[in-house]
Amino acid sequence: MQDYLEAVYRLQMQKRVIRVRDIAGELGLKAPTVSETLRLLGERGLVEHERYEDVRLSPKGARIAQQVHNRHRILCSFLTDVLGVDPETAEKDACAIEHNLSPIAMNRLVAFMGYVHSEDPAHTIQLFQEYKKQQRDVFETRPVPVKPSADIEIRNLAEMKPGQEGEIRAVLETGAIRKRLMEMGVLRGERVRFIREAPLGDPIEIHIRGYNLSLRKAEASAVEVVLDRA
Amino acid sequence: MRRPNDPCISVASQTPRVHSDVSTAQKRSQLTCALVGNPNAGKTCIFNSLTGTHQHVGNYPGVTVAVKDGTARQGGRLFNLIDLPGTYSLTAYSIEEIIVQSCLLDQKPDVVINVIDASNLERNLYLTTQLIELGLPTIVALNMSDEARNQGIGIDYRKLGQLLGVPFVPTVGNRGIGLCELLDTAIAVAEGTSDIAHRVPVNYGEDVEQLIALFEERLEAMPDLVERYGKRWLAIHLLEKDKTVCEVIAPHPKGQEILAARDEAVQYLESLLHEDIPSLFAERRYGFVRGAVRETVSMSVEQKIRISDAIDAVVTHRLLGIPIFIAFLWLMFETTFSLGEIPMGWIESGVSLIGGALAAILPDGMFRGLVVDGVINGVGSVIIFLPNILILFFFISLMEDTGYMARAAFIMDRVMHTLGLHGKSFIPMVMGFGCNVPAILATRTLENRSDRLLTILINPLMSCSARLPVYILLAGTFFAAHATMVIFGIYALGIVLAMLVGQLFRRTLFRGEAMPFVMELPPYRVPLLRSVLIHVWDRAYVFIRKVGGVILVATVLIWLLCSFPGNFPGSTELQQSIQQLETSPASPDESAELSRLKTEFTEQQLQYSFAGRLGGYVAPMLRPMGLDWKEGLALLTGIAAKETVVSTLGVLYQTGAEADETSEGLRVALRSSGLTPASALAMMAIVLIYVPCFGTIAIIRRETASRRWTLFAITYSSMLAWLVGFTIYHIARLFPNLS
Repeated sequence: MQDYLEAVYRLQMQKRVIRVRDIAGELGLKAPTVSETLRLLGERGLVEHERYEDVRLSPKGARIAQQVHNRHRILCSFLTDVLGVDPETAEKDACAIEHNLSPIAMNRLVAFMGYVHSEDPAHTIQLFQEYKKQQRDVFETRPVPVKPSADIEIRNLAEMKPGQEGEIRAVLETGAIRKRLMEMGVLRGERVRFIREAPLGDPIEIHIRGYNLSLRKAEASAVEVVLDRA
Repeated sequence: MRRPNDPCISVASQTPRVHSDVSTAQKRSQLTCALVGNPNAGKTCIFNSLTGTHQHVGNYPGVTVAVKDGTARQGGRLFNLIDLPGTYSLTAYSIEEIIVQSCLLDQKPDVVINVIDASNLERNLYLTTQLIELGLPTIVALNMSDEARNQGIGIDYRKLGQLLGVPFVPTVGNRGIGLCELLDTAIAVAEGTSDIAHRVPVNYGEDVEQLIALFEERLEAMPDLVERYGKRWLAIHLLEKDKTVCEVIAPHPKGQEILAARDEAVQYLESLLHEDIPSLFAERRYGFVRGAVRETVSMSVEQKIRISDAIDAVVTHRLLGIPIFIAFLWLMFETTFSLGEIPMGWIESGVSLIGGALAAILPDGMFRGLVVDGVINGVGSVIIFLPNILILFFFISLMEDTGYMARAAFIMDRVMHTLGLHGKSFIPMVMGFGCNVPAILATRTLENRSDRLLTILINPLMSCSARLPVYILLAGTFFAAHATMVIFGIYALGIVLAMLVGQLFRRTLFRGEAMPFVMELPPYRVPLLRSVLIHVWDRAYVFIRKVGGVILVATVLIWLLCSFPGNFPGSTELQQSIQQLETSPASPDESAELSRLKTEFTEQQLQYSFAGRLGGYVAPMLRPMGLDWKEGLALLTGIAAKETVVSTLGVLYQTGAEADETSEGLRVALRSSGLTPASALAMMAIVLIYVPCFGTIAIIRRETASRRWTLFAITYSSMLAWLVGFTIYHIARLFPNLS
C-alpha cells in the first residue's frame, strides 16, 4: 500500500497526469492489480481515482506518501552517504530495509540521519569517510546475500489444524474487531495453540495467554501465525 | 447479608497493615465501592455474597445494560456497592465499556474493587492496568484463588500488589472467603491508611511516553477536563482515540486543534512503528503485566491436563457435540414446559377455585365481574408464567455457572450467525417456542447490547405454545388432511421470518454496532446451589414485581373493554327470555334453546362493547384477506393471551365460550361462515406474527428499558403481520381449491 502511495508521489513530481499503467510500470505490476489496489486506497480516502481517469493523491494520502518518501530518502542517504553503497543498490536496499527493519531501529535511524544532516553535514560525512578508511576491509568485502528463510510457514489462524502451535505475526484487522482481539491479548508476538473447530466448522477455539478463546473464522483469518516447525 | 459482628472467614494469613495514626485520614461512615472486572471473573458472585438480598437491579438510563447496587456493613461503615457490567477494557467503545467508564469518571466511587480471576491472571490484569491509570483508589480481589491453587498456580500476591502498587486480597467469592479482608482493605485504601496505594502506571516506552508528555502539556489548556479526568489518563485516551474523550475535547475552544495534532502525531508514530497506536498501547500494557506475572507467579512443573479440557473434548466434539447439546436442550425444554404444566394446572384450578368462591359470595353484577373475571383472572395470568420462569432459569443459571453456556454458544454460533445473531441467542430463541416471556428474560445472558436487542425483537416470531390452539383450530377446520403440514409450515414461516428480519435489522438498525464474536470459554466450574437460587429468585422477582403489574392491568383493561357498555339494544328482552327458561324446568329442547340464547347474548354484548367496536375498526384492514370484524375482535382479545383467540371465535360463531380448538361445533360454524382456506392461512400467519401478547410486551418494555423499542416491536410486528397475511392470502387464492 505504502509503495503505491510513494510511487504516485514520485510520479507526481515527474508528470502532470498519472495513469494506472504508469504506476504499473513503476512498480512492475499488472494494470488490473494496480486498479484493484487503487480502489482500496480510494475507499480509505488516500487516493482520488475514477475509472479510466488520472490518479491523484488525496491530501491525507499525500501526507503519508511524503512521510514514506522522506523515510526512503533518509535510508538512501544513509546507505550512500554514510555507508558508501552505490546509488542503485542503495535504492533497492532502502526498499528492503523499509519493509523489514524494526520500528524502533527505523525510528533511531531517522533520528540519527536527522542529526547527521542537521549539524554540519559535510563535516559529519567526512568523519565517516575517515572511519571507513580505517575499516577498509569491512567496506570493501561484499556482503553475502542472506537467503530469505523459505522454510517459515505462515498461516492464518483459521487455517490451522488442531494441536498446531505458533506465534502471531500480525493482526490484519481494523476497528472493533481489532480492538476486541487486542484486549483479549491476541497481539503480535503472542503464542497460540489451535484447539478445535466447533462441530459445524465455525467458530474455532484457541489457547492463548493461559486461557481458551473462541472466535469466528472470519475474524481468525485476519490473524497471521508463524507455525512452529513440527 | 453480612452483619457487622459476623465472624470473618479468612484465608489470608495477613490482613493489610493499617497505620495507627488515623488522624490525617478522614473517617467516613459511608463508602461507595464499584466492582469492576472481566466477564466470568466472579464479580457478581462477590457482589451477591457481600450484599445478600440487599440489592437492587436497575437498568442504566436509556440502555439495556443492567447495573446492580446493594449495601453491606462492616467496621461500622455502610458500603454502597455497585456491580458494573463485565468488561475487558476501559477504552470506551462498546456500550458496556462506556457505562463502566462513565460511572467511574463521573460518580468517582471511593474505592474501585477490581475482581480478577486468579486462574487467568494475565488477561484480567490488563484491565487492572487501565484502572490504575484512572487514578482512583483501587484494590484487587484475587478471586477463585482456590481454583488457581488447585491448578498448580502459585501467586505471590503481596509482591504482585507491590509491583502494581495496589493491594491484592485473595478471595473465593462463591464461598464468601476473604470478603471481610476485602472490605477492610477498601476502608484502608479509601482513608489513606494502606501502605500499598501508590499505583504504578504502565511505562509505554520512550517513543510513546514522549508523545504522552507532549499532549499532557497541550491538554493543560483545558483545566476543567484535566481536573476531572487527570492529565495522563486524558492524554493516553486521547491517543487511543477513545470515544468519550474525543467527545469531551471536541467542543473545547482548542479542541479541534488538539484533535488535529493528535491525528498527525498518531499517524507519524504509526508510520514509524508499523503498528497502530491502540495496539501499541495494548502490547505495552500486556508487556507490563507479563513482566509482573513472571516475577510473582509460579506454575507447577507439569500442569495436569485440566478436567475442563477433558470435558470439552466430549462436549464440543465434532460428532458428539451437537447431539449432546440437543439432548440437553430437549431436557430443558421438556422440563420447563411439560413439568411446568403440573404446577400451572394447580395455579389454574386454584385461581378458578378462588374465582368460584368469590363469585358465590359477591352479589351478581358489575363488581363481581370486575373481581372475578378481571382481577382474579388477571392475577392468574401473571402467576401462570412463574413455573416456566423458575424452571427455565434454574437451567440457565446452571448452564451459566458451570460454563456450559459458552460452549452452547460455541456450538450454535454458526447457525445463529446466519440470523445476524450471536451464538448465545440460541437458547432464548428455542425457549421462545415454549413461551416468549421467559425466553426474553433469558436474553440477559447476552453481554452485547445490540445482540440482545435484536434477539428480543425477533423472539416473538418463535411461535409460542399459546398460539398452537389457534393453528390447530384453523388448520384442523380447513386442512383436515394436511393439518400437521400446515402447522409445521407456520412454525417454519416464523423461523424464516426471524432470519430475514434479523438480517434486515442487523443491517439497518444495528449497523456498525456489531461486536465481533470473540468469546472466552471459561474453565468448567462446579455450580453453587446458593448462587443458582439467587439468580432464579432474581428473575422471578423481576417478573412479578416489574412485569406482573402491567399484565394485570392489561388483562383488567381488556375485560373492561369487552364488558362495557353492557346493555346493547334488546339486551333486556334477551335476558328476560333467558331467565324465563332458567326458572322453568328444563326439557332437552329447552336447555338447547337456553344455551343458544346465552351464546347469542354474549355475542351481541361483545359486538356492542368497546372491544367489538374496535374490532369493527380493524375489520377494513382485514377485509383484503377475506376476514371480518369477528376475526378482528378475536385478534384484539388475543393480545391479552394468544389462546384467547379461540375462545373469542367460539363466542362469535355462537358455539359458546367453552369452545376449544377441537370442538366440532366451532369447526362446522367456521366452515359454513364463508371463511376460505386461503383466509384461514392468512389468519394463522397473522396470529403468528402480530402484536405480541401483553406479557411479552411488558417483558420487552422491562428488558429493553425503552418505550421506543417496545413501540417499535409492536409496530413492526403488526405491519409485518398484515403484509405477510395479505401476501399469503393472495398467493393461496391462485390455487382454486384454497379459495
